[in-house]
Amino acid sequence: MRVKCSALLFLILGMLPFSLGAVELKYKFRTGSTYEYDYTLTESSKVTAFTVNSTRSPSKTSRKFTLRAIDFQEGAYIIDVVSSEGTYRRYIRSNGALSGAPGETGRSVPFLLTFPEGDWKVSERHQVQQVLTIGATSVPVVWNLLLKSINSEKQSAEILFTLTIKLPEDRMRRKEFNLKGRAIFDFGEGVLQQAEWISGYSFVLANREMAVARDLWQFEHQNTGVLTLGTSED
Amino acid sequence: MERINSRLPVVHAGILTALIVLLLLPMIEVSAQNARPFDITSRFKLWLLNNEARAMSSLRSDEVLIERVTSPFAFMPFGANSVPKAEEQIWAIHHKIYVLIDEIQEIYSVAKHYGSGRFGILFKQHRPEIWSIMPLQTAMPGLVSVIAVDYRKAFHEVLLKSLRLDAKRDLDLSGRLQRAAKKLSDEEYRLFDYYLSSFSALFPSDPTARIISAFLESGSKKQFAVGLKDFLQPTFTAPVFSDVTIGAAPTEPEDPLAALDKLAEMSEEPEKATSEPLEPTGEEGDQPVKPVAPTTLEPPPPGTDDLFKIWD
Repeated sequence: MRVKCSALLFLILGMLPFSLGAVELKYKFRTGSTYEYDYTLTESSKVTAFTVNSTRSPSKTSRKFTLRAIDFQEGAYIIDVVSSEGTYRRYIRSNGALSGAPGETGRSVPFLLTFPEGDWKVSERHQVQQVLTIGATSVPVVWNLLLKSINSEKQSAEILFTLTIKLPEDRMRRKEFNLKGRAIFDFGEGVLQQAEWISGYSFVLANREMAVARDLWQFEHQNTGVLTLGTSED
Repeated sequence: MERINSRLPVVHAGILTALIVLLLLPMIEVSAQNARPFDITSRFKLWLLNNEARAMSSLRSDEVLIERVTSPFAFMPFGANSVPKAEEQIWAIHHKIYVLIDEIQEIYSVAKHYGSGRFGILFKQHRPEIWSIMPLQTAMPGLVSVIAVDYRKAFHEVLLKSLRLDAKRDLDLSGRLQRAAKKLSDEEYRLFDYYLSSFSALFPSDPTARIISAFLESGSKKQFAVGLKDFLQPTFTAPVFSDVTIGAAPTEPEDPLAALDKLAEMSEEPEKATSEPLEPTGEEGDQPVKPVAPTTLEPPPPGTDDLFKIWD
């Protein structure tokens, strides 16, 4: 009787976070396993100069890459990212942060999206901030994440994310950049199942002399990225 | 012997041209250091080039920045597989515009330098072929009439080459201008026109863009620099030494640069307003002296030695 009560209590406690709408999202790569992803990037662009429009219709590039989970050492998964461009080693923390990339020395590490530590409640926002420096320019960047929903049956969480960045502007240059996306994370397996995001960039170069202002060119770039987990093998 | 004789004119003409070029070189270098003579396009071209450079610089620095936020996950390959962007097409149109601008500048310079016919007259007057065959006058006078024309033809050919002129291409400058403008499609031409009008709106005191527009407009419609015809396609006749007098030199065609003079008048007002004049006139004083094209070349005053009357 006592054992039955304890088991029921543990079950209720175990279910509690889902019933309350909270979950801890962590990467849990299984050592020795491989994960195969498809990554598709669709790019289109347009330039307007006076009445002349120059347009590049959407161009789609797809590539596959494989993750080889090698080990877990000092709080980071040792992963080999194998693509057509080569193999790159990454040390990835369970919240998604990168603690090292020895095969990419000299390359700027991207500003990555990371999960909050501990339980994350549905509808709760999470913010990650960083200052990116390019040459003499420093730009504050913010990832805004929102846990939209949890599917306890499929053990998946839906996350919405947007990026806020203020590109450098002056009296001749007006710029805008926005990025928004959605990710499905399998918190049971501890891997990202799917993610898609759209980014838009607009840049207007104008000339201003005294009271006269003329817009010369408007550049618009739009990118769509889709990342899908194909297979995972032990 | 015949072969050597046939090559002689070319060799002599080459030597003579090289000497002239050597003499003119210091002047060319000085003018190149300051500014191109008859420059009507540089400021507009630099404006467009600078704007392009600004745009390219911003696009690249933004791209570097954006590349760092568009790979959101630590386990994916970094760095975008970028495809050519739409701006490539605009840069390609600009390249065509630069080619047109350079062609306009070249045509304008040729017309201003040689279009009056004065330069051609100067060379005719100095009769370089006679200088070359002078030694033969006493030794083998019979040969003079035979090879003088060839000398002159060869000299003329080398001279045109050294001046970067082409008789076929430059005979009809209006046609050359039309052909250059036609390399741009209607849409590309509209864009070029928009840039010209933008430049004029932004820098109202700078006449550059207005001059380019007016030159294209008027130069494509009617012939100009007709004085070039005599210079590019002269009549080669055997010299009669007794007739060599300055008075017999060919006369300059009447009003050969009317179209360009009209153009200069058009730009006179805005030119005054600019701190940097388009064409340095070299004139001083309150009353600028309007250059008058001579109708004939004056013979030397009586009593003075005529340098070229050496065979009388």
